[in-house]
Amino acid sequence: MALDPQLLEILACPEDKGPLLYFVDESSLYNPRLKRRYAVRDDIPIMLIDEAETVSDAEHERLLAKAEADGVQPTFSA
Amino acid sequence: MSASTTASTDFEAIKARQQGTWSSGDYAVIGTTLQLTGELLCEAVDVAAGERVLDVAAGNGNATLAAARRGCEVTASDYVPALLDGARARATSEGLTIDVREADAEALPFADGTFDAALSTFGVMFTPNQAQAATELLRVCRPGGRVGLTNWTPEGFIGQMFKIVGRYAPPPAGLHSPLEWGTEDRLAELFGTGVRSLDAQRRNFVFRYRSPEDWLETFRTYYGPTHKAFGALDDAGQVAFAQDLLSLANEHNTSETGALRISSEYLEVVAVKAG
Repeated sequence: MALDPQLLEILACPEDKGPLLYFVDESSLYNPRLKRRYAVRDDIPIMLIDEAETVSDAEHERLLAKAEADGVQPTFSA
Repeated sequence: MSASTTASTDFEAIKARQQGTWSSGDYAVIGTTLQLTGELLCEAVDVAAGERVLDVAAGNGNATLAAARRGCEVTASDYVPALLDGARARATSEGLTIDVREADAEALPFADGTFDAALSTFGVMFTPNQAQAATELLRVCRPGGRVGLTNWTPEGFIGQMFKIVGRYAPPPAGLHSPLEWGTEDRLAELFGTGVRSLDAQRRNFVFRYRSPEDWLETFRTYYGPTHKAFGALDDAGQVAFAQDLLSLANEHNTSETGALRISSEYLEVVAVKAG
Protein backbone atom coordinates (compact mmCIF):
# COMPACT_ATOMS: atom_id res chain seq x y z
CA MET A 1 0.00 0.00 0.00
CA ALA A 2 1.25 3.49 -0.79
CA LEU A 3 1.79 6.06 1.92
CA ASP A 4 -0.81 8.80 2.28
CA PRO A 5 0.22 11.71 -0.02
CA GLN A 6 -0.80 14.31 2.59
CA LEU A 7 1.41 12.70 5.17
CA LEU A 8 4.25 12.40 2.71
CA GLU A 9 4.29 16.16 2.42
CA ILE A 10 5.75 16.47 5.88
CA LEU A 11 8.40 13.78 5.54
CA ALA A 12 12.03 14.92 5.63
CA CYS A 13 15.44 13.31 5.96
CA PRO A 14 16.26 13.11 9.70
CA GLU A 15 19.81 14.24 8.97
CA ASP A 16 19.63 17.22 6.61
CA LYS A 17 15.85 17.81 7.12
CA GLY A 18 15.44 18.20 3.36
CA PRO A 19 12.79 16.57 1.10
CA LEU A 20 12.86 12.98 -0.10
CA LEU A 21 11.85 11.09 -3.22
CA TYR A 22 9.26 8.40 -2.57
CA PHE A 23 9.43 5.32 -4.77
CA VAL A 24 6.14 3.56 -4.10
CA ASP A 25 7.03 0.42 -6.07
CA GLU A 26 10.39 0.04 -4.30
CA SER A 27 9.00 0.89 -0.84
CA SER A 28 11.74 3.40 -0.25
CA LEU A 29 12.40 7.05 0.39
CA TYR A 30 15.54 8.55 -1.10
CA ASN A 31 17.62 11.57 -0.16
CA PRO A 32 19.58 12.42 -3.34
CA ARG A 33 21.76 14.98 -1.53
CA LEU A 34 23.24 12.46 0.88
CA LYS A 35 22.64 9.44 -1.41
CA ARG A 36 20.80 7.85 1.44
CA ARG A 37 17.86 5.49 1.19
CA TYR A 38 15.24 4.78 3.87
CA ALA A 39 13.07 1.67 3.72
CA VAL A 40 9.30 1.58 4.15
CA ARG A 41 8.24 -1.58 5.97
CA ASP A 42 4.58 -2.47 6.50
CA ASP A 43 3.68 1.12 5.60
CA ILE A 44 6.01 2.42 8.32
CA PRO A 45 8.88 4.56 7.02
CA ILE A 46 12.06 3.61 8.88
CA MET A 47 13.47 7.10 9.35
CA LEU A 48 16.48 6.13 11.43
CA ILE A 49 19.88 7.34 10.26
CA ASP A 50 21.49 4.14 11.55
CA GLU A 51 19.22 1.97 9.48
CA ALA A 52 19.48 3.99 6.27
CA GLU A 53 21.50 2.66 3.37
CA THR A 54 24.03 4.74 1.46
CA VAL A 55 23.73 3.86 -2.22
CA SER A 56 26.43 3.59 -4.87
CA ASP A 57 26.91 6.24 -7.56
CA ALA A 58 25.39 3.91 -10.15
CA GLU A 59 22.32 3.33 -7.96
CA HIS A 60 22.07 7.06 -7.33
CA GLU A 61 21.98 7.67 -11.11
CA ARG A 62 19.38 4.95 -11.56
CA LEU A 63 17.15 6.45 -8.87
CA LEU A 64 17.42 9.96 -10.33
CA ALA A 65 16.57 8.61 -13.78
CA LYS A 66 13.67 6.66 -12.31
CA ALA A 67 12.36 9.74 -10.49
CA GLU A 68 12.51 11.62 -13.79
CA ALA A 69 10.82 8.81 -15.76
CA ASP A 70 8.10 8.16 -13.15
CA GLY A 71 7.51 11.82 -12.41
CA VAL A 72 8.38 11.44 -8.72
CA GLN A 73 8.35 14.84 -7.00
CA PRO A 74 10.20 15.68 -3.76
CA THR A 75 8.05 15.26 -0.62
CA PHE A 76 7.98 19.05 -0.26
CA SER A 77 9.67 22.04 -1.85
CA ALA A 78 12.55 23.14 0.34
CA MET B 1 28.70 18.38 34.35
CA SER B 2 31.26 20.15 32.20
CA ALA B 3 30.71 20.85 28.53
CA SER B 4 33.68 18.69 27.63
CA THR B 5 32.12 15.69 29.37
CA THR B 6 28.98 16.19 27.36
CA ALA B 7 30.89 16.54 24.12
CA SER B 8 32.76 13.31 24.66
CA THR B 9 29.68 11.29 25.60
CA ASP B 10 28.93 8.68 22.96
CA PHE B 11 25.22 9.38 22.59
CA GLU B 12 24.82 7.04 19.62
CA ALA B 13 26.17 4.02 21.45
CA ILE B 14 24.06 4.82 24.51
CA LYS B 15 20.99 5.25 22.31
CA ALA B 16 21.53 1.90 20.62
CA ARG B 17 21.62 0.22 24.03
CA GLN B 18 18.59 2.17 25.16
CA GLN B 19 16.65 1.09 22.10
CA GLY B 20 17.41 -2.47 23.16
CA THR B 21 16.22 -1.68 26.67
CA TRP B 22 12.85 -0.30 25.58
CA SER B 23 12.46 -3.12 23.05
CA SER B 24 12.91 -5.63 25.87
CA GLY B 25 9.95 -6.52 28.05
CA ASP B 26 6.80 -5.07 26.55
CA TYR B 27 6.26 -1.45 27.49
CA ALA B 28 2.71 -1.58 26.08
CA VAL B 29 1.54 -3.63 29.08
CA ILE B 30 2.39 -0.70 31.36
CA GLY B 31 2.00 2.08 28.78
CA THR B 32 -1.70 1.48 28.19
CA THR B 33 -2.44 1.96 31.89
CA LEU B 34 -1.08 5.53 31.57
CA GLN B 35 -3.71 6.54 28.97
CA LEU B 36 -5.20 9.16 31.29
CA THR B 37 -1.98 11.19 31.25
CA GLY B 38 -2.21 11.49 27.45
CA GLU B 39 -5.83 12.61 27.66
CA LEU B 40 -5.03 15.23 30.32
CA LEU B 41 -2.04 16.45 28.33
CA CYS B 42 -4.20 17.02 25.24
CA GLU B 43 -6.57 19.07 27.38
CA ALA B 44 -3.68 21.08 28.84
CA VAL B 45 -2.26 21.72 25.36
CA ASP B 46 -5.86 22.39 24.25
CA VAL B 47 -5.41 20.69 20.89
CA ALA B 48 -7.90 21.77 18.25
CA ALA B 49 -9.57 19.42 15.80
CA GLY B 50 -7.74 19.53 12.50
CA GLU B 51 -4.41 20.46 14.04
CA ARG B 52 -1.31 18.57 13.00
CA VAL B 53 0.15 16.85 16.04
CA LEU B 54 3.33 14.84 16.54
CA ASP B 55 3.72 12.30 19.34
CA VAL B 56 7.44 11.80 19.96
CA ALA B 57 8.69 8.56 21.53
CA ALA B 58 5.03 7.66 21.32
CA GLY B 59 5.35 4.11 22.59
CA ASN B 60 2.03 2.45 22.03
CA GLY B 61 0.43 5.80 21.48
CA ASN B 62 -1.29 7.29 24.52
CA ALA B 63 -0.94 10.91 23.46
CA THR B 64 -1.42 9.80 19.85
CA LEU B 65 -4.81 8.26 20.62
CA ALA B 66 -5.85 11.15 22.85
CA ALA B 67 -5.08 13.68 20.08
CA ALA B 68 -6.68 11.53 17.35
CA ARG B 69 -9.80 11.22 19.52
CA ARG B 70 -9.92 15.02 19.49
CA GLY B 71 -9.88 15.19 15.70
CA CYS B 72 -6.21 15.97 15.20
CA GLU B 73 -4.06 14.66 12.36
CA VAL B 74 -1.53 12.70 14.34
CA THR B 75 1.88 11.30 13.53
CA ALA B 76 3.30 8.83 16.04
CA SER B 77 7.06 8.26 16.10
CA ASP B 78 9.17 5.89 18.13
CA TYR B 79 12.33 3.85 17.67
CA VAL B 80 10.63 0.63 18.82
CA PRO B 81 8.60 -0.62 15.83
CA ALA B 82 6.63 -3.20 17.82
CA LEU B 83 5.18 -0.42 19.96
CA LEU B 84 4.16 1.55 16.88
CA ASP B 85 2.33 -1.50 15.55
CA GLY B 86 0.39 -1.47 18.82
CA ALA B 87 -0.37 2.25 18.48
CA ARG B 88 -1.71 1.70 14.98
CA ALA B 89 -3.82 -1.27 16.05
CA ARG B 90 -5.34 0.73 18.92
CA ALA B 91 -6.20 3.60 16.56
CA THR B 92 -7.65 1.26 13.93
CA SER B 93 -9.89 -0.39 16.50
CA GLU B 94 -11.45 3.02 17.19
CA GLY B 95 -11.81 3.82 13.49
CA LEU B 96 -9.08 6.46 13.71
CA THR B 97 -6.34 6.92 11.15
CA ILE B 98 -2.88 7.80 12.37
CA ASP B 99 0.48 8.09 10.69
CA VAL B 100 3.38 6.11 12.14
CA ARG B 101 7.12 6.58 11.65
CA GLU B 102 10.12 4.83 13.04
CA ALA B 103 12.19 7.78 14.13
CA ASP B 104 14.74 8.99 16.64
CA ALA B 105 13.55 11.78 18.95
CA GLU B 106 16.97 13.42 18.52
CA ALA B 107 16.80 13.41 14.69
CA LEU B 108 13.17 13.85 13.70
CA PRO B 109 12.36 13.27 10.01
CA PHE B 110 10.24 16.39 9.54
CA ALA B 111 10.84 19.81 8.09
CA ASP B 112 10.98 22.86 10.36
CA GLY B 113 7.63 24.19 11.60
CA THR B 114 5.60 21.19 10.44
CA PHE B 115 3.39 20.70 13.51
CA ASP B 116 0.92 22.73 15.56
CA ALA B 117 1.89 20.70 18.60
CA ALA B 118 4.55 18.17 19.57
CA LEU B 119 3.70 15.89 22.48
CA SER B 120 5.51 13.25 24.48
CA THR B 121 4.25 11.30 27.47
CA PHE B 122 7.15 9.87 29.50
CA GLY B 123 9.08 9.51 26.24
CA VAL B 124 11.43 12.33 25.32
CA MET B 125 12.61 12.49 28.95
CA PHE B 126 14.57 9.27 28.34
CA THR B 127 16.66 10.50 25.39
CA PRO B 128 20.40 10.54 26.14
CA ASN B 129 21.09 13.90 24.47
CA GLN B 130 18.52 16.08 26.20
CA ALA B 131 19.54 19.36 24.59
CA GLN B 132 19.27 17.85 21.13
CA ALA B 133 15.85 16.35 21.88
CA ALA B 134 14.54 19.70 23.15
CA THR B 135 15.91 21.46 20.06
CA GLU B 136 14.15 18.98 17.79
CA LEU B 137 10.81 19.33 19.61
CA LEU B 138 10.90 23.08 19.09
CA ARG B 139 12.22 22.87 15.55
CA VAL B 140 9.35 20.78 14.20
CA CYS B 141 6.72 23.07 15.80
CA ARG B 142 5.51 26.17 14.02
CA PRO B 143 6.07 29.53 15.76
CA GLY B 144 3.38 29.73 18.46
CA GLY B 145 3.04 25.94 18.37
CA ARG B 146 2.98 24.01 21.64
CA VAL B 147 5.25 21.43 23.14
CA GLY B 148 3.37 19.26 25.62
CA LEU B 149 5.20 16.83 27.88
CA THR B 150 4.62 14.60 30.84
CA ASN B 151 7.78 13.80 32.81
CA TRP B 152 8.21 11.87 36.06
CA THR B 153 9.57 14.08 38.85
CA PRO B 154 12.63 13.03 40.89
CA GLU B 155 10.53 13.14 44.09
CA GLY B 156 7.67 10.99 42.82
CA PHE B 157 7.33 7.23 43.08
CA ILE B 158 8.70 6.45 39.61
CA GLY B 159 11.48 8.98 40.19
CA GLN B 160 12.39 7.12 43.39
CA MET B 161 12.17 3.81 41.56
CA PHE B 162 14.69 5.05 38.99
CA LYS B 163 17.06 6.01 41.80
CA ILE B 164 16.99 2.39 42.95
CA VAL B 165 17.43 1.15 39.39
CA GLY B 166 20.44 3.46 39.11
CA ARG B 167 22.03 1.90 42.20
CA TYR B 168 21.83 -1.60 40.71
CA ALA B 169 22.39 -0.68 37.05
CA PRO B 170 24.40 2.55 37.01
CA PRO B 171 23.58 4.78 34.03
CA PRO B 172 26.31 5.64 31.50
CA ALA B 173 28.69 8.38 32.66
CA GLY B 174 28.17 11.90 31.41
CA LEU B 175 24.39 11.75 31.07
CA HIS B 176 21.84 13.99 32.69
CA SER B 177 19.22 12.02 34.59
CA PRO B 178 15.90 11.66 32.71
CA LEU B 179 14.22 12.88 35.90
CA GLU B 180 15.69 16.34 35.36
CA TRP B 181 12.93 16.77 32.75
CA GLY B 182 10.64 16.66 35.76
CA THR B 183 12.14 19.88 37.18
CA GLU B 184 11.26 23.40 36.09
CA ASP B 185 14.88 24.56 36.31
CA ARG B 186 16.12 22.02 33.81
CA LEU B 187 13.19 22.67 31.47
CA ALA B 188 13.99 26.39 31.48
CA GLU B 189 17.57 25.50 30.63
CA LEU B 190 16.58 23.12 27.84
CA PHE B 191 14.02 25.36 26.13
CA GLY B 192 15.63 28.71 27.02
CA THR B 193 14.66 31.56 24.74
CA GLY B 194 13.10 29.17 22.24
CA VAL B 195 9.79 29.43 24.08
CA ARG B 196 7.59 32.40 24.90
CA SER B 197 6.02 30.67 27.86
CA LEU B 198 6.51 27.52 29.88
CA ASP B 199 3.87 26.23 32.28
CA ALA B 200 4.48 23.24 34.48
CA GLN B 201 1.83 21.64 36.64
CA ARG B 202 2.43 18.91 39.22
CA ARG B 203 0.04 16.02 38.79
CA ASN B 204 -0.25 12.51 40.11
CA PHE B 205 -0.83 9.33 38.22
CA VAL B 206 -2.23 6.48 40.30
CA PHE B 207 -0.75 3.06 39.64
CA ARG B 208 -3.13 0.22 40.50
CA TYR B 209 -2.08 -3.41 40.74
CA ARG B 210 -3.44 -6.45 42.55
CA SER B 211 -0.64 -6.30 45.11
CA PRO B 212 2.85 -4.88 45.55
CA GLU B 213 4.15 -8.26 44.35
CA ASP B 214 1.98 -8.07 41.25
CA TRP B 215 3.36 -4.59 40.53
CA LEU B 216 6.92 -5.83 40.97
CA GLU B 217 6.36 -8.81 38.70
CA THR B 218 4.78 -6.61 36.02
CA PHE B 219 7.64 -4.11 36.08
CA ARG B 220 10.23 -6.87 36.23
CA THR B 221 8.74 -8.59 33.19
CA TYR B 222 7.49 -5.75 31.02
CA TYR B 223 9.17 -2.44 31.90
CA GLY B 224 12.38 -2.14 29.85
CA PRO B 225 14.63 -0.39 32.40
CA THR B 226 13.74 -2.67 35.33
CA HIS B 227 13.61 -5.77 33.10
CA LYS B 228 17.14 -5.06 31.82
CA ALA B 229 18.49 -4.22 35.25
CA PHE B 230 17.25 -7.55 36.63
CA GLY B 231 18.81 -9.33 33.65
CA ALA B 232 22.22 -7.82 34.39
CA LEU B 233 22.31 -8.90 38.06
CA ASP B 234 23.37 -12.18 39.61
CA ASP B 235 20.94 -14.10 41.81
CA ALA B 236 21.86 -12.27 45.02
CA GLY B 237 21.68 -8.93 43.26
CA GLN B 238 18.25 -9.75 41.88
CA VAL B 239 16.95 -10.64 45.33
CA ALA B 240 18.28 -7.41 46.86
CA PHE B 241 16.98 -5.31 43.95
CA ALA B 242 13.52 -6.91 44.21
CA GLN B 243 13.47 -6.29 47.97
CA ASP B 244 14.38 -2.63 47.55
CA LEU B 245 11.68 -2.15 44.93
CA LEU B 246 9.10 -3.88 47.11
CA SER B 247 10.06 -1.75 50.12
CA LEU B 248 9.59 1.38 48.02
CA ALA B 249 6.22 0.15 46.79
CA ASN B 250 5.10 -0.68 50.31
CA GLU B 251 6.19 2.76 51.55
CA HIS B 252 4.13 4.50 48.88
CA ASN B 253 1.17 2.16 48.86
CA THR B 254 -2.01 3.81 50.16
CA SER B 255 -4.35 0.89 49.55
CA GLU B 256 -6.07 -0.61 52.57
CA THR B 257 -7.20 -3.75 50.79
CA GLY B 258 -3.94 -5.55 50.01
CA ALA B 259 -4.01 -4.18 46.49
CA LEU B 260 -1.46 -1.65 45.29
CA ARG B 261 -2.48 1.96 44.91
CA ILE B 262 0.41 4.34 44.44
CA SER B 263 0.17 7.96 43.48
CA SER B 264 3.21 8.91 41.40
CA GLU B 265 4.01 12.54 40.81
CA TYR B 266 4.77 13.88 37.34
CA LEU B 267 5.19 17.25 35.73
CA GLU B 268 2.76 18.20 32.99
CA VAL B 269 4.46 20.79 30.80
CA VAL B 270 3.08 23.10 28.14
CA ALA B 271 5.61 25.29 26.37
CA VAL B 272 4.70 27.72 23.60
CA LYS B 273 7.31 28.19 20.91
CA ALA B 274 8.57 31.73 20.45
CA GLY B 275 8.11 33.63 17.19
